[in-house]
Amino acid sequence: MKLTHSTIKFSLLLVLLVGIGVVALLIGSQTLSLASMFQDAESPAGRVLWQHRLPHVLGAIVVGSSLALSGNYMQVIFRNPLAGPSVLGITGGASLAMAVIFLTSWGMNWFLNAGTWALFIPAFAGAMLVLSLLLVIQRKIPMASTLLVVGLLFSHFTGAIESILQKMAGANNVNQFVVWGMGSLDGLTLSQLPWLLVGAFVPFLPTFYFLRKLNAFAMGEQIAATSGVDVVKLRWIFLIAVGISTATITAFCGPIAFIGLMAPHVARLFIRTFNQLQLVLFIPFVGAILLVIADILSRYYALPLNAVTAAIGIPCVFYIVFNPKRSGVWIS
Amino acid sequence: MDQLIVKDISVVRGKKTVLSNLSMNFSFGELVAIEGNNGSGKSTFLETLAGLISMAHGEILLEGKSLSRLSFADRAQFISFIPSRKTTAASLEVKTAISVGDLSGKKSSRVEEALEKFNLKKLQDNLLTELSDGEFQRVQLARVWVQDTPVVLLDEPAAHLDANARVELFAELLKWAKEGKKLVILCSHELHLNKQFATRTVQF
Repeated sequence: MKLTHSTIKFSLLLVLLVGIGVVALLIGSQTLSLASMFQDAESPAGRVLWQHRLPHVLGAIVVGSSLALSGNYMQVIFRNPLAGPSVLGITGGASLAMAVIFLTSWGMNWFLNAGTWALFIPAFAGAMLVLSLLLVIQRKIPMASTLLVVGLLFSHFTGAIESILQKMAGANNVNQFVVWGMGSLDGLTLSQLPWLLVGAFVPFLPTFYFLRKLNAFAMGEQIAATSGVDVVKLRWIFLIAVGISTATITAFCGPIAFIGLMAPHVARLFIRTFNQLQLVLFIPFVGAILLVIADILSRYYALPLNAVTAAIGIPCVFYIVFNPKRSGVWIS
Repeated sequence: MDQLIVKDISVVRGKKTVLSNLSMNFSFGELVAIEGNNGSGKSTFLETLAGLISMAHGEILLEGKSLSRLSFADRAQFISFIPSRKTTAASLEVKTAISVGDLSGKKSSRVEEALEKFNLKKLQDNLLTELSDGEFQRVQLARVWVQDTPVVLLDEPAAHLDANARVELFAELLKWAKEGKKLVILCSHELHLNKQFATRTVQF
């Protein structure tokens, strides 16, 4: 009975994703008809569709699903329903590293020599630096609410340094950095997609092997350890995957906020379970759908992507705060 | 005889020596109640046995094998642990929480059995955060029953329970010791229950 319910819900998500994906292909500065999907790929409409919008929509699917998995894992590992790459300052760490690249002359020189792919390295270093600091602090002060405040402080701190760097940098560099910081899938090309997939989603593949152990982790470290989980090792397996994925996404698309925080909650409400073995099947789809919707709205109304994700995400945060029992209390 | 031997262990937390040169022997089939004031080191002792705290020196031997050399996965075959309620709160369904006792995923029929045995069938889809203290403790018992280890450790298992539930809990644990030939060690302030049910009490 339960399986059929899950199957129906899973099929529903799949259909929804395909439907919204098609809408996303057709809507934009120039709205295309459904018939244009069957036109020659070299026609003007075909070019817009396959060369510009297809990488865009596929990118949104990869990024949305990866951010959603990151958010889910962080919420369990930090035992905090408000955790997510952007909330705990991990995106901020990656973002600060990017500011150093875009806004300093030696950073810019390095970037021009090294090429776009190399942006991953500083983004990863920045993300992992913040993640490691959070883990150290969590050992000292295990309260989830404290960690959240620390994460927010990190975000403000990295933001402050970014402002100082902006003040000192030339107008052209600042402009480039500000546009990047709004978050966008516009720059993605078809040739970049495999790299995005490898960096953002593939790091999660090994984590699927450890989902039972992640359930144990949700019961607290003492129960996890006495049930046979090497807690320290498990935590790093998940956080390194989150770090690589977040860094890749931040390097390609800028910091994209709230999807990682929001998608796991939407998925849990939708299939009404906290069991990771089931959740992890659904969460990537929910994340993908949410980001594709946000992307459609952002393109249709010509708004920055992060403005749209925040507008959708903040009501979600309110829901979590006012429904602690149903939305996940890991606070010990 | 099957035994758990604690050999000259010392445990230091921060600058404080909590356990100092402690030696003790336990046998399977015993229900041991550890008594003592708050801060006397009862919980530290259980956590050390569970492998959650490392020892400054000493050794713990189970059936002649040193526990500190075992991996987490191997140790979980021998020892299970129910921490005190204050350290555990989780958003997880009852059934998923019980199946944490079976990380290999090979004992799903035992998880079903546990739901029946501990009267949790109706609550299986409820979240732990929605349970009463008594129900929560039944989930914990079901979880370690699924794990099915020769040694079971419990930290203040009766602390939040009403009078009837306490008696039921102690009776169940005595059954595990007597019929299941397990070694059950618990910290407990319930002196009269310790006296009534435990096969041995240890003062800290």
